[in-house]
Amino acid sequence: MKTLLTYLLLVGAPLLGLLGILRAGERIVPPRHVGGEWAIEPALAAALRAACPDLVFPAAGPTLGVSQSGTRAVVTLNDSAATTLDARLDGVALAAATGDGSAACGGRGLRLAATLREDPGPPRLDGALSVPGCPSCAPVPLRAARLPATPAR
Amino acid sequence: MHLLTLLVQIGVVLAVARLVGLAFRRIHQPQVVGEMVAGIMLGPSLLGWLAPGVSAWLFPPASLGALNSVSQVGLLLFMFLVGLEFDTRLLRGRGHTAVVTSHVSIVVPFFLGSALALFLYPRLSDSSIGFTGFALFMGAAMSVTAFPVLARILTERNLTRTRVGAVTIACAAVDDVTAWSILAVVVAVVRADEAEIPLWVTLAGSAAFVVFMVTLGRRMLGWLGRYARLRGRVTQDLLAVVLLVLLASAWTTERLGIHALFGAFLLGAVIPRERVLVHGLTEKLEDLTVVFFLPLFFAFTGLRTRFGLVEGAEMWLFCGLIVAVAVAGKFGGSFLSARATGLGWREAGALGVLMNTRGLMELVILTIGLELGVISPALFTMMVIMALVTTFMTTPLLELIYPAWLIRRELAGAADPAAAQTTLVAVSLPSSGPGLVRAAAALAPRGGGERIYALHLDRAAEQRLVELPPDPAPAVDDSLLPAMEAAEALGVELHPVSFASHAPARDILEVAREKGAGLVLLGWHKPLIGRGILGGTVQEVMKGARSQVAVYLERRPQPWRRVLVLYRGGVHDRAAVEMGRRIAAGGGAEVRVLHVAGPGAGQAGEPEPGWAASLAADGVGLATVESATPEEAATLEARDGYDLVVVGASGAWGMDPGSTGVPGERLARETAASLLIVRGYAPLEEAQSDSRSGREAGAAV
Repeated sequence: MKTLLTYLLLVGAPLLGLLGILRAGERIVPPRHVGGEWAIEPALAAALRAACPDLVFPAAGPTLGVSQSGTRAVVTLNDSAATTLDARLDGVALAAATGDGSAACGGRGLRLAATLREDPGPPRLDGALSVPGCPSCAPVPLRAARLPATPAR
Repeated sequence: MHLLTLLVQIGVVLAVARLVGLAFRRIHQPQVVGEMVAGIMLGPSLLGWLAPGVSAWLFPPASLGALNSVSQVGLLLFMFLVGLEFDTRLLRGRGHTAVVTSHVSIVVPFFLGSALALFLYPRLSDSSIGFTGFALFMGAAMSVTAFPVLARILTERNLTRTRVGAVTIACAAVDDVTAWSILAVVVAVVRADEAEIPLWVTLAGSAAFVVFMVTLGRRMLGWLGRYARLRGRVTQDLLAVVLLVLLASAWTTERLGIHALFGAFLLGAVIPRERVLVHGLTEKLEDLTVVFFLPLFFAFTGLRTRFGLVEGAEMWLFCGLIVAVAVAGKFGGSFLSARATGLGWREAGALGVLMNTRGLMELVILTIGLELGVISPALFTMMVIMALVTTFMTTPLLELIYPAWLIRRELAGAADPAAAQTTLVAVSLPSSGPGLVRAAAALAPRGGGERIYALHLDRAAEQRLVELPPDPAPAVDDSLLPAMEAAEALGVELHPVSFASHAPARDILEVAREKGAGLVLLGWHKPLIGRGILGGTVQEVMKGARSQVAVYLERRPQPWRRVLVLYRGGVHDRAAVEMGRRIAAGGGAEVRVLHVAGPGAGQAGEPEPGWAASLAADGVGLATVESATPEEAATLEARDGYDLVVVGASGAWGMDPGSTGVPGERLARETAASLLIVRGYAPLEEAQSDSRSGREAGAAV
């Protein structure tokens, strides 16, 4: 009898609780998905390089990779130095910047501000890339489209 | 170019894994924990942080595909071996404790993991994954137990034959199968959106495949076992067939939309439990998997573990929460259910600690989750930290809750107060068992009431993935079987004791104390590196025993016809004479004491008046010679066709355990007789010594 009660309490009750958790979880709104590879419009490569001569992209064109963990992300450009920016996501707004002491852009750093647009069509990031250490440099517009995800395995 | 890079990568990974693994063994951690840490050390969390240039050169992103492929092959083999160790016999006869505890140890952490998902989903996940898939994955990841690491810890700590060990191994086996089944469903659900085949086909196909494998498949595979038994081993052809079936099974589950690893695990689980087959496959695949493939998997896991992603107090708080929930779910659930079903506090605590071990099974599950995008890179890192912490904490916590001395005491059992004389025979090699048992029987006092224990200590040095389940019946270690057979032939009752040991001398002394042994009998075997008879373990036992100790070097098998006992004086020689009396009392042997007195001493050194008459009454002859070099006199006499020479462990005969090595022990080198070296013990002298020094424990006299 004691064993049966133990079983019902420690197995039955958590299973019922699990059902409640799954139902409750359906109402949670997670952060928008910005992870993956994004192709920057090739025409912008020259403008990016003009703003920041360090940004040497491969012939295939510039891309940025986003490794997302909830509202935090790491943005990595495919330039020769693999410049990395720490990012935060607030709703559809993505704000990213190189860390203190970064060598990006001759030590002047890089900042990205973009908005995620999901409709209609494939997701896009629209925004601008700026050089915070250069007040006279104008921000470079940035438009990127999400590349199809590679199969998980 | 990639091949060169791959070769360098493999070389570095193997070397670092081995070194760190060995270092962890030094601090009494399973080697696999060290190898997991080595993988992380080679990743961006350490090498990439300390030396980014070296890291980029060693692990360029373009080369990682090859490393991943090799490690995936290794994982297939690993999961096959994990399945191979799953044996339904483990579950039989374990009672309701095992049933309840195993279910609770899955359900409670699963529930808590899913509950934690409510908190983590909006913070560490994103809209690419639904809450249901995320929560179920978190539940499954929290529920897993590292069966291989667990089995290893149980074996190393001699817990396999205890009640805790039996229940734990049964629970871990159930947990393994359940967690992987749940994970298969989670993977199917998560992949459903992108899969080429509908979810119902995945689920129905997977169920059908499992049913096929455990019924028809198992029957069809039956011939593998019969073939192996017929040949007495796993041939190369048989191994090739098994590997082909393994690939087919993995391909099928991957194609069905779950994961190739499930197919490998399933095949291992359903393969016939023919001992020759299981042993053979394990022997052929295990070393390569453990030494070569798994470190590569750990390295690949380490490359994806970025401690830098766990940045700031908030993220570390999340990480701490994950560890706390993991421990609360697995330890707490197992502990509560074990207590509720009748285990004591200590046993339930040990069970909880053991079940809390995540080990590399957790890494495998997390890798699947990361690849599927169910968990984010930061959450992956936090979960890896959780796996490391829960695995690392197992050994010290277990030592705290269920200390090794207590396990040894339980295994050894209590002393028999009715026994007139208890002899502990330490059997190192199976071949030496019969000789030692015959010697123990000959040295036992006449009149009955003697009790003889045979102790075998297993030096378990190498890590293994597959620990074959212990025999549910009170088992006799294979190494003691020859000794048992010899005892049966003599009509002597022999009580076997065996367990794994890292410190044989300490454990021999402890068992001798537990059993109240009056005599500890050790065998001597020629070591690989030159060492005297009375060195190493023998020396430690002789110095630490609170009983008589005898070392038996067998050259002429029993029965002994002519026995020489050497006497010059002192406690050890008196003990030798006492042994001679017992041998004589057994009948069949002519026993002669050679009293080697100092020049001009004559019979002055005899231990008691009328000693010769006393010896004669026991059927022992006495001869006295005077010599300034007793070792030489003894050696000359011993060459005279004796079967056995009994000698005290003293410097007079070149048999001092404190100082001898190969240069001493002339008596052993220059005679062909068997040798029994006796170290006497006098409690009174010990007591006096104790009162002088204030020490609690006794020491060699």
